[in-house]
Amino acid sequence: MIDLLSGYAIFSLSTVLVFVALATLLHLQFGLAGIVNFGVVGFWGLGMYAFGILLLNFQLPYFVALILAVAIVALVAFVLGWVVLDLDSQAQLVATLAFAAVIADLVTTEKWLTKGVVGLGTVPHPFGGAQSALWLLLILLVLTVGVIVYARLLGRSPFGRLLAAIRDNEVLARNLGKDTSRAKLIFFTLTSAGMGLFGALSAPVRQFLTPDLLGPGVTFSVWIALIVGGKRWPLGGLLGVLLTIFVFDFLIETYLRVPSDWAQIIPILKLMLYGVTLVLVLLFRPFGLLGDRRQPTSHL
Amino acid sequence: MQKLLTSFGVAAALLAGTAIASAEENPIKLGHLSVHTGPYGHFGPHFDGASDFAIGLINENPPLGRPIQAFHQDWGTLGEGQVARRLVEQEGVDILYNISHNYESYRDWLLGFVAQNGRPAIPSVFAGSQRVEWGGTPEEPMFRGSPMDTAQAAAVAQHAQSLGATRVVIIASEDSGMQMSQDSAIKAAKVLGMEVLADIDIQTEQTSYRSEVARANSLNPDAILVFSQAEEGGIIVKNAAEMGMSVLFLGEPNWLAEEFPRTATMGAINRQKGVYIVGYTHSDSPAWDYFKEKWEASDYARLSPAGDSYTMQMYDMLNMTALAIEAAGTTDAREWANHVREVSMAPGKKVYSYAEGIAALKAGEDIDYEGVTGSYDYTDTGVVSGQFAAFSWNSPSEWEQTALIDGTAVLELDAAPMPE
Amino acid sequence: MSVVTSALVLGLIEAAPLVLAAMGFTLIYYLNGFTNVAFAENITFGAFFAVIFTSILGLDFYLSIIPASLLSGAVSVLTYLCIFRPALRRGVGPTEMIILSVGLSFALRYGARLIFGGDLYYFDTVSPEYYAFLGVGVTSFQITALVLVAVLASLLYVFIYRTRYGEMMRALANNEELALASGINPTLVSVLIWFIAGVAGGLAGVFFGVFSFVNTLVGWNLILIVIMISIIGGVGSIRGALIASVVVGIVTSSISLVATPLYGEVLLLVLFIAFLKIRQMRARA
Repeated sequence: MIDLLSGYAIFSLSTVLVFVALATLLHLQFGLAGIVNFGVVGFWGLGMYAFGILLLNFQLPYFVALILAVAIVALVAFVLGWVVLDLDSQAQLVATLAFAAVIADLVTTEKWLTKGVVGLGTVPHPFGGAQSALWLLLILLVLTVGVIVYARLLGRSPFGRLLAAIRDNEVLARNLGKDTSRAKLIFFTLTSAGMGLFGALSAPVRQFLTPDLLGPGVTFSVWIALIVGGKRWPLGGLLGVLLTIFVFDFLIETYLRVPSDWAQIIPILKLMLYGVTLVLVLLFRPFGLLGDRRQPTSHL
Repeated sequence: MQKLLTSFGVAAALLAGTAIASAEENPIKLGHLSVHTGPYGHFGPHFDGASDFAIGLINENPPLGRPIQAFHQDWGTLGEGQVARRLVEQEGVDILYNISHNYESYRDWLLGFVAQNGRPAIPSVFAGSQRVEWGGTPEEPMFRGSPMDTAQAAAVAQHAQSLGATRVVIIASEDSGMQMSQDSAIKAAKVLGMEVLADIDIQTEQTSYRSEVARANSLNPDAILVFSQAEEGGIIVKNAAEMGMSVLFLGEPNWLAEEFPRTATMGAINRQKGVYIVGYTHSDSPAWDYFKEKWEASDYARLSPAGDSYTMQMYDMLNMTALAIEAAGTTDAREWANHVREVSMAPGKKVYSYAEGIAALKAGEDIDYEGVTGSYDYTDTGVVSGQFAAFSWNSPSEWEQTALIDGTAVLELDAAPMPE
Repeated sequence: MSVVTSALVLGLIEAAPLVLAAMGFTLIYYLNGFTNVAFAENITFGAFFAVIFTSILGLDFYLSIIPASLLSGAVSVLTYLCIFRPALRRGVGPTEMIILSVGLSFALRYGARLIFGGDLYYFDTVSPEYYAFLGVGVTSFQITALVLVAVLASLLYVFIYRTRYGEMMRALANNEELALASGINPTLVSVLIWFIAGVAGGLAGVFFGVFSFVNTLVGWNLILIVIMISIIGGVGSIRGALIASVVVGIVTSSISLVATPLYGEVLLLVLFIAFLKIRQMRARA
């Protein structure tokens, strides 16, 4: 059995929660508003490093650094949003992907600020004491649940309906007098800042930051989870992460006993399965494994 | 009656079986932070095999009568921190073996665990990258199986100078260990009075470094020092030959992997003024003779030549760990830490293998383990001595030692402060 | 030998296999309207096929290029018939098609990883010869790559703009309904284009491989830059792919000659984003 309060379990569950939050935020961006953001790791990573730098290099107080880091991500998201939100989906995809690559590259080159590949650390937990990691986990839990609840409420709200309308037919929405550009931009800034917030909170989870964390793997994991779980559904991110990351990186890792020669095959097999699943889901269940669970009010 | 006798017999057999089993059922658990995926993934089988080889020999006469049971775990995908936590908390390992570059991210938790639970012991062949002030104490029972990476980098600069270089360019890939080595080499070069014309950072996993090599060449260096993996180094030397360059190249131990000559091609290597690799060599002692014979006769011999530094370091490290457990009389890491220097340094009877060492300890003698990698003496913070040498490739499958490098001079160089 | 000449020649040499890849990639993009990320595996498989033919079956390197590229073409056609065409027929939109191709890319890459492992593979049996051109050194392999690029680019150009099949492809890409109504057989044309794209990708892989080494990540490491070149060069434009590849090669070399090479990548990415925006603003106007 696993001691749920062990350092291992707390660390793993914290990571899973962050992914759930990211996937839900992506549901809002893509599933609800139709924004194709392949730069998830860019916002997450920027938040993580901004927080680490403000806390460790500039010695700012903990929560000041946190808020400032999120503000920085929001600013960057605003600028990027202004550039990419008007592009067609494919261009948006590669532009946001390029953005994430720029972030990863700059974190590597600006060693004077980020310590580069040697790593930035040690980022402490928000509250000290023996249960500091547990407190962090609880904060993440509360915030993640908050994101999911927000997603649910938003989907049924007038603003949510507007976003869905923009997603389905932006020209029509604009002709009906809605300021679609502004709505999308504000929403994109907000949700990307959310990704930055969870990035900032990931800094104390990991405690030691390195640029290899900012590779495209995080973005792809989140996308796969969302597609499998159902992009249109506020709980799609949660379900998707449970079925992919939780099963492989937590359950199988913890409970499955395999001889070492086979153990190395598992991560490779996992990634291959992710790919196959993605293909199958998109071909046969484009709305996610549970089928079409669209909110009734998002039709136009 | 028949049935009763049979069941009696079975019960007796079971009892006897369990009595024998319980001695074997209490193994010393060793959690190995190995790597099978990610950029260092191809090292996994080598590291696992070299460790199993040493453990096999140890288990012929295990410390405290308890055989060592190894759990090889890949951290390439999940990260060192998560896997370390799993090994220590879930598997309950007594020894956490081979902490590496990301140690800092879980160090606080690990040391807290050691303070509370008396385990795990933390021997590591890769801790040469960790701060020199960390380790060697009961509070932090971390002992290294190699000299500091910074010393190794200083040795490269030292050898460059001994080959007559006065103007150098230092290239390093964007990798934590390589970058730190680069800093150390720059400092060492300056202390030695050499001119560092440029330090160039290259990206990993590229198919060509021609521009970077061209840039290095345009500065007219006597030698180009490179800190990179084997394949990157191979491409660099290959690119240099393509450009018609003939320069002195010095690389670090990763270049002793066959990926280096196979990527570079011997043609390109031979076109250069010299391609030397500065790494660790074995001692000239009964330790080496014994080890070499055992390794080459084992199932693991195909994983590396006997002189491969990782193989030798892992062998010595595990021997020392087991001997110190026996000397401490317990697997408690805090007690173990107190006996490491006792078994590896004078005074004591010099022993050149684990088998010799354990026999002497069980006979109540004090020992001084002399390893394959050198006299195996430790500093106060858990840094072990080693022997530096230069090597070069003769063919895609064979390298040879070309010179020994003065270890004392290297250590002085490493300890020297950065000149103004 | 000035920095400018160095950058130029270096840029050209580094661009050659990239041009091959970009030409293949852009054909698929043009015909079917989506970014096929799994094209990365086309590149990788080409390299592996060539390794199998040279190192394992003992064929001469230059001869092995032929079966390697043909097999790559076949693999490309297979992905089209088994995955992409059914997806298009089910009405999967362009964004989802890209995600689908990412999934296929993962599946193929890690499937290959299970078979070939993480080891590096080499074309051991061959050694390059060294020459000098305009004061810059080149090898026989690089010259071969350059020649092949020139030949293939010309052939492709002729094919697309001067032959019937090329005409049919352009018709199909521009207006599918009209093309079908005119009696063009979409399957035949599509299979042909995917085959050619596969051949180009496979050839690119072979040359990347012989310049350095072969592992399952060869294509994946390059796909982003291939995508960027194709988009900048203009979808479907052979000439555009050529020019964009050379420009990218020169920019990267120039920066690497004077500063940290990563800045070259950053510059390219930022310019790319700017390019997308400007292109879009022009289209609006």
